[in-house]
Amino acid sequence: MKMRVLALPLMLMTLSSPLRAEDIVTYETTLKDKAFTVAEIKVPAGKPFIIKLNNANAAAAELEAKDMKIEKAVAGNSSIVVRVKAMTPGKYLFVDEYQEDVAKGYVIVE
Amino acid sequence: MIGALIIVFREVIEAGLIIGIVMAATQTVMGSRKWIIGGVLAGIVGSCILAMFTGSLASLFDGFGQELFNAAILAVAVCMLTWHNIWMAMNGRAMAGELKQAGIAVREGQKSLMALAIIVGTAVLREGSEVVLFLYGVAIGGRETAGGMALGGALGLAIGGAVSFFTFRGLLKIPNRYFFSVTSWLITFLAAGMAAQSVSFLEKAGVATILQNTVWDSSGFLAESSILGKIMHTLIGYSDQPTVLQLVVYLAVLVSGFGLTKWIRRPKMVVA
Repeated sequence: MKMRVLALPLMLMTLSSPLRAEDIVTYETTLKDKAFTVAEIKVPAGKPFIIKLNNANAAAAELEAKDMKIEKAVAGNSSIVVRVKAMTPGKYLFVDEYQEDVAKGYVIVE
Repeated sequence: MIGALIIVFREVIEAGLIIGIVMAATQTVMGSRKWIIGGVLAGIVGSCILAMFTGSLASLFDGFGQELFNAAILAVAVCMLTWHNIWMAMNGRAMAGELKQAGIAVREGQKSLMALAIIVGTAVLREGSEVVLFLYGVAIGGRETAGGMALGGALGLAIGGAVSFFTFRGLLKIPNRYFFSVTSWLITFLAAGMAAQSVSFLEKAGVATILQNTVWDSSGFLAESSILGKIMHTLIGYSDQPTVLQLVVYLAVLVSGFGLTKWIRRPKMVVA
């Protein structure tokens, strides 16, 4: 029983090596105090992409975007990447959930 | 304060529901309470540890360490829920009916109780670290509203606890002869939903890449991120934009879960 509990996550982790070779563009933005320094990220429609968020604050943040299905915590003074599936044209909001009233940015898909 | 309350509540509602259901489902199993409390405490301690290592975890696997970690613990929880359902199907009836046998059953049941502790532990662990990060941020942020936010956070946790309690009490109101069936359905749905969610984390990590078309989009009808959406997401695995792969895995776990329980229980139902 114990073995099985341990073996499963290990198995999953070794089996999985996220694809890197594929052509997927990374867009970067930084959260400083209450604002994203790239507050509008332009991406082409119909292609998956990656957002890299640098958290320049000491406090942790949580990148959240309901339409893009993003919900990921980022520790203070560190970075995360999130994969976003191909989106249709439009303007999509992302926020730092911990201060969502003020820390807002948009991904503009066109 | 309200903002903080909502943030924390959104994170803990899922664990709250799961704990309530597991508590109700194992209400007749002697010693289950101890294991559930143990699981919750271990989950809280684990959350604090996980929160400390969020940065390092995020940098693993090309930046998708958190997703893979979540996928893995969800997969573990699915196995434990299935194991528990099978075990309850084999022993639950006898135990509920004849207390004399309960002592023997409990000795055999220690493994199932361990599974239970793991289920609640992973439920707390999954969202708990985010609550810890948030509250820690409030504490070090030195904002003028820190006091109010801390209070909001505490209230959010308390409401999450209340969700557990009312789920538990609500389920206990179910008449005895349906009780076993209802709780085992609930657990099967929980397991199916978690399996689909595990797949969605693998998709986010870029590991699961087949069958990626969206089956439907019901976000306009019931957004998964709303409170009701979140409750439905936890209870039956509701997703407002599931991929084909998520749906396939969901149905596979659901059908095999029901099938197994029915198959195990069949001879006993003839006797009864």
